Amino acid sequence: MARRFTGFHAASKMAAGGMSRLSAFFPRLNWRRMATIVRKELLVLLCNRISRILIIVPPLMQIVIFGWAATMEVRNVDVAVLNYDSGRWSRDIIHSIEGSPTFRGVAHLEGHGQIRPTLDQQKALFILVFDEEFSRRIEKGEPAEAQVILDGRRSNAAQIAAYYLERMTAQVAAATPRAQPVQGMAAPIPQLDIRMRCWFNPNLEFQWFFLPNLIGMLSFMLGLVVTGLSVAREREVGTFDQLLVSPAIPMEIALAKLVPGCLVGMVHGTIFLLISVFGFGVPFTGSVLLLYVAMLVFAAASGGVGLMVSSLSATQQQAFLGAFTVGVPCILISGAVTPVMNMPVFLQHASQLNPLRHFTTITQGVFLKDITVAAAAVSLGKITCISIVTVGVAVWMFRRKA
Amino acid sequence: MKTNLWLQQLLALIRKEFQQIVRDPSSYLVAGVLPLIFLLLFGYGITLDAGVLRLAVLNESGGRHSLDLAANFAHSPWFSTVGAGSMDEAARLMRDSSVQGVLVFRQDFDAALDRGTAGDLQVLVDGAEPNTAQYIQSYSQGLVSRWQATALPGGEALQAPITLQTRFWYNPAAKSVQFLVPGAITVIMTLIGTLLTSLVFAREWERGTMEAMFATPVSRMQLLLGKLIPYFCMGMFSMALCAGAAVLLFAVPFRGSWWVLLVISSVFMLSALGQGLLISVTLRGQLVAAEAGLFSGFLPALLLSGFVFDINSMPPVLQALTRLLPASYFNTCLRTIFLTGDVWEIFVPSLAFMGLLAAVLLGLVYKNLVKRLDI
Repeated sequence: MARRFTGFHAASKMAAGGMSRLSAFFPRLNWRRMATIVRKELLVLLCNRISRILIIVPPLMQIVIFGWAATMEVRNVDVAVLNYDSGRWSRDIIHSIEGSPTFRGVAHLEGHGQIRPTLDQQKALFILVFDEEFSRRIEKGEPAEAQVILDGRRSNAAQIAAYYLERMTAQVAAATPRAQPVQGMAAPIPQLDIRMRCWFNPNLEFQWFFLPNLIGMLSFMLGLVVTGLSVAREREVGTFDQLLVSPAIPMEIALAKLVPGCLVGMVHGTIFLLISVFGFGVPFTGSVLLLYVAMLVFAAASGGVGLMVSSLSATQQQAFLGAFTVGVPCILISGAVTPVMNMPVFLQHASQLNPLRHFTTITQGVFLKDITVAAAAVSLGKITCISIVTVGVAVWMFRRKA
Repeated sequence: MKTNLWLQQLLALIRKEFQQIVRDPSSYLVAGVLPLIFLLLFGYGITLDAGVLRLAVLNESGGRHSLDLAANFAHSPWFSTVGAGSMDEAARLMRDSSVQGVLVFRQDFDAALDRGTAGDLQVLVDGAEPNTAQYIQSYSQGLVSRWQATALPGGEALQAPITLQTRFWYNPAAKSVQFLVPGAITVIMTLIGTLLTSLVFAREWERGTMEAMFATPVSRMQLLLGKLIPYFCMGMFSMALCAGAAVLLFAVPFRGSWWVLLVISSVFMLSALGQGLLISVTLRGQLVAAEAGLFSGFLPALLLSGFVFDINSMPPVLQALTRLLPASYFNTCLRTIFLTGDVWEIFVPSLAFMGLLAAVLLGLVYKNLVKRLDI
């Protein structure tokens, strides 16, 4: 017991020593001065009518519009059919296409010559061609083949549509003579029965994937832009010097500048959370507390990046464009748009430095997957490291510049 | 003589604008660095193709057939597999996103196949990434039915009664790079056309140089052209760079004609510039203008132009919205001109719409560009 106590003492002494050494690097912060600057920043941000509208309306519009728009599901597909076959089986397939909600219209072509213009002019995503022998072969019990010509300009949508088509023809195929059990055969051929099930998102709703990601994307951009521009504006208008001659020390100014961006990010995060869950019905399976802790740390990281950018720029234009140059690639390689695992290896490593990547892992995890504590801790730890580094470097750059 | 003076004044304005562009490092960022980053990211980084799909294999059966099928998965170019000892372990791997799907052979899988009854195989897919999930479903289905037809006794008879032979025109390997790179050009042009120019008048208003400009004999038309021409040149320069990189670096075919590309991108550039300048003239603050440019120009070009998300699959309201978006027309034209060729049935309506929009927007800019301070 006693040993434990001394150990504890030693540890706390060491911690205290560490603190005093730290405070040699970091001068004591005066919270009251910082609060004043924060207040001033918020006033600047919120009292201008246009800037108020701009930090409130567009992000909300975005979540509604992109909540609908962002879909990899394929719907309303236009199809063309060139049918040389007069039998029943091609007709059956065409009927099932016409009856499917995925496909919008079926155009019937007259001859081979129409294939190219139809596809060239994007009047159909794919063209289905049956030859004269199609139904006859099926009746005879031979394997039959139909051709599908797809528009490679939209190869992603085309691939998915082709998969739907394949499933529909499989249903028709089940009724063909060849698929019926042959009488007189000793043992039926074992047919594998594959059962597909989707976890976390049973109907593969694309919104369930994209809306949680949108939270990270938009708070990242807002944090970056709001923080980045606030310093650049002061510098451009000339009030930056006034800030410097105030009693506040540069580090207080820098840290206070981080607050509005973080606040805006958190508020939007909350709104997005509510809209996703109650407006779009995205399930939330994980811990709200975890999400908020992650959001706070993540907001600090994006504010830090914003501050770095603005330390490097002399005007608002430069700060804005700089924030943009950093922000957009970060969004694209974060896994919020396409999975990180599909990227080349060097980009996968590079994206480890990207706070949004880890935040996306957490949001996807807490929304759909009830992420395990261990996995969440790893991502959260990485975001924390990144935010300490970005804020640290930003403050250092800020002091140098100041 | 008079037109000569008019031209000289205009040239002076253009020279001034060019000098401003050259002196400002941020314009290099937008015209050079950003397009490069975008092209590289879309050329090498972002792909909508499936990549290698990671599966966990939970084999409770452990017999000949299940091992053979599992090996087939492991050796296929589409999948990489790891073993899982129990359902709990497999579930944990899924929750941590270490794998994207689980292949489950139930205990009686091999016994059932040997008996000659249907074996029971489960494919559990991580639905959190729907696009990937669909690829896993589709590929595993194909792999299993091919395996059945070859590895099982009497399997030839299982060959599907109807097969679909798919062929992709314009992009035979169905690589997403081929349409993402032309699409990226749309985004880059919007960036220069709308985002960069949304700042130009706003900056002059904010710094007070607009007032100085009013004191000169410069006319509104000269003012407008003085802004339009330099940024137009810059956009077209970027366009040439991107198109060259697309063809030379990313091996995107170019099947249309260059002069058509020139005409279409000029008209698009004018409409993008019109949008940017209109924002700049009406909002008069750089911060506000930049955000408006971002939200009305860049984000729609990225998300609503059909660049990543297919337009036909969007709800009707949004489809109608994309009809008003020049970027969606330009995107279609670019893909067609690179991958298909000169298809006038697509180009003419697009050109007509973009031209009309450009005229309306630039007209509005001209109307709003009043040489007065008190509005």
